[in-house]
Amino acid sequence: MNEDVIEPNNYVFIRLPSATLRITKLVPNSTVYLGKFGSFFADDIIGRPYGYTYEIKDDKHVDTLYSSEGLFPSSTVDADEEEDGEETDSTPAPEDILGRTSDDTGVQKLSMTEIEALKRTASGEKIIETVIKSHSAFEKKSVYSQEKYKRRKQQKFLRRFTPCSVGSCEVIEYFQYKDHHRILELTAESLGLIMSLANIRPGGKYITIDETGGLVAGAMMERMGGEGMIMFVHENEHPNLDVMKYMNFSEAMVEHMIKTINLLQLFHPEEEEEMKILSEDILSKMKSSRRGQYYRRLARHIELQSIFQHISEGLFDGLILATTLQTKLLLDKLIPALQGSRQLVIYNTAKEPLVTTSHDLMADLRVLAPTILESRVRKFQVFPGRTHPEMTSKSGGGYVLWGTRVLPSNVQAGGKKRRKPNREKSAKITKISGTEEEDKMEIVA
Amino acid sequence: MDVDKSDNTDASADMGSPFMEFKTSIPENGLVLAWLTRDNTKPIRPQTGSALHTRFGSFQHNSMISSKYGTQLASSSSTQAGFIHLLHPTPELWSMSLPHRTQIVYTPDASYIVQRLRIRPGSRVIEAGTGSASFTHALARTVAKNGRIWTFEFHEPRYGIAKKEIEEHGLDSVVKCSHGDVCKDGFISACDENLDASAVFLDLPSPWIAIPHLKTVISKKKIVRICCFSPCMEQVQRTIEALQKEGWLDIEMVEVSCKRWEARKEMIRKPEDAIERLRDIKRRRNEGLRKRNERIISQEQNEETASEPQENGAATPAEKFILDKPFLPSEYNPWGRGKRVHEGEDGYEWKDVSKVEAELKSHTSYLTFAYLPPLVPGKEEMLVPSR
Repeated sequence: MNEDVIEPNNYVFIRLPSATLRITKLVPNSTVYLGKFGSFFADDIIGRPYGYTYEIKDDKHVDTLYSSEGLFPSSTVDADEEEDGEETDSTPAPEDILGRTSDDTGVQKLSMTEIEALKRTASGEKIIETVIKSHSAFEKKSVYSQEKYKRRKQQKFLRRFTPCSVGSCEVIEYFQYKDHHRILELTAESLGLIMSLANIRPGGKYITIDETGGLVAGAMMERMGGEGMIMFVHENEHPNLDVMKYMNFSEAMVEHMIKTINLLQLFHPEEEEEMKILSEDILSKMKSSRRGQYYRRLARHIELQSIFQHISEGLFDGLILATTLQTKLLLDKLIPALQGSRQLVIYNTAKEPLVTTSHDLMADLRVLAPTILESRVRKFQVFPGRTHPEMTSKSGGGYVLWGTRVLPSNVQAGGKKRRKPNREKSAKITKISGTEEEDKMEIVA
Repeated sequence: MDVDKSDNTDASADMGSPFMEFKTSIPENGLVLAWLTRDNTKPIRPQTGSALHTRFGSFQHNSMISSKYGTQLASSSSTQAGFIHLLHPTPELWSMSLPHRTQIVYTPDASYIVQRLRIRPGSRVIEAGTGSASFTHALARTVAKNGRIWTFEFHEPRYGIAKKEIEEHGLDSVVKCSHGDVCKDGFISACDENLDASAVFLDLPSPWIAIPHLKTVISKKKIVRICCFSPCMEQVQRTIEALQKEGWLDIEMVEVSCKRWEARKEMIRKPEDAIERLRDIKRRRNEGLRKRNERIISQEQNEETASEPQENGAATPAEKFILDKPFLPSEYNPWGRGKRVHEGEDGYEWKDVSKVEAELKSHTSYLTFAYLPPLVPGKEEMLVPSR
């Protein structure tokens, strides 16, 4: 995973002037097709830093633009914005009275065929310039409206693109428009919250059940810098890491960090087949291909044994569930696998299952203060004098249940059962009675 | 990358920071967050012979040392049988335990910013101002031992507190605290290093004055991302103008709102039960009225025959009322009306529900994001982008 320079065979996230997003694999000696924006030679950008913006030329080679240029000349106008009474502060343009849009042929003197001809010969910028010049009512538009018109034409004619490295944010952006359900409707705000609350960092040993094709596990890997381990629990014969593959982790890195185990193995390790350890003597007589197979099986066996040991000794440092399976049984099994004072984070697209889990955990003294969080980001259009929240926003984001694994003491277990709720109540009462109580607390040396 | 630990003086350096490493048991003098309630967490460092006194009782430090993080500790006092939990520090729990020194960057904002700025182990980050250093902790956890954070604070006492805390928490090998006015003097670090940062977080009253100073301290070879954190729209407008002028791209402004839901139980109250209760009330009232009328009649008769002795085995009116019980139980009470019913108590029907917490943090700040692409070699390596 090199997030600075494009390496051969990397997946890259390609931003285009239109809202379309692409994730493309850059195979050396190949041509990348970007639909109406044209196509270019992959080799032209392999080995170069991420973040440059390129203009596609007719010979499929690319020009690197000045860094300050970007996909569009900078502006905070979004052409997809709904109209918000944009003509009210200027004389209405004729087309508005007729209820026609600015794209109507009445005001555009260029014909479709003329524009098509232009597209074959001129650069994107040249086309836009010509189109604007041929727009009879352009000058009558407000500045804001002109900006928006220009932006729309840029989205149509600029043959520019910006390759970015594919991280968890880009994966989310891509799937948000394509197939949000596949990543359980995760958003950047929810994923960020999950990673922070679960205290994901280098060197940690974590458990996850991740039904997002490995997006969650991939985001964990981003924050672990190659140190630590993720026990990836899954319900199928083979784990699904289809989404993680876009994030350009090397195979060796994935193998080093992700330890997979299915639910049958997790719940019934005793049903695992015994591994017959063969002697050097027998091995030396084997065919090399069979010997290789044996060593792979042996390595997997040793890995599984180590995972079982981590579970039974409770050595894990955190837990993230992003699953559609019912979590009660899973938590009963996995809570004891966590060390004391480690974080549990459970994500779901709906709140109700988390409410049920939260009740279960409140009754379970092993998890402290379960809390359900709902984080949502609202995007604004910022244009001087025209700032407001955007009219529409993407749904999704789900809910995050967060709690801390604690070690209930035996003394307490024999005592009053209702202690937990009682304590909460007494806290509420004293809070009303003033802060004096608070001040009394001190550390006496 | 080698980590400079030369200016560490105390033992905390050898122990490693609990914000950067997981520990199983509590070392003597190691940082513990004593959790009393959801709104009350006390940072303590257990020392032999000391004790923590709370309204839930007293807790001996001796019993904390060497016990496991996460332990539920019973109070040593005989009169108050309370308990506390001994928690391992995390940046999130730490921010909850802070007496709010300045407006702090809350976890929903902080976690989103870390995610959007693509902060990773090894990242080099600029933060101004330091404030309560709450966000600094979250950044340090993520950039980890190979990363660097340069944090700048204008207010000297605040800088002093933050610097001391960073040292006490064993984060000073990663976090470089500086005292200064970045708007006036730029991002001049006290440690005279090449900052070469790829992420910038500005929580300043006038970020637009600081933005032009960034050029010299950010990476020219890779994408640099910025987030400006401002509570007011007017600040956002000026920040965006400055970012545009300096060539930052893909400028976007958002607001994070986070709701905290509480899992609760709501009693299931069926209309059939309400109807039945009304029927019961009506029946008992009619019954009562009938008895009252009988009583009045019998009293009138009694008055008429006042001369006769009353002791003829007849009960007093009250006794009589009890004797003639209505057919239905005297009180049909499906929902425990008038009783103290605990949420979720047995004997009633409950439904799992969720309610939003009482006090909602509905606005923290506006977050303005943008990025600056790497400079194109040959074309503008020596040029400073200007638009």
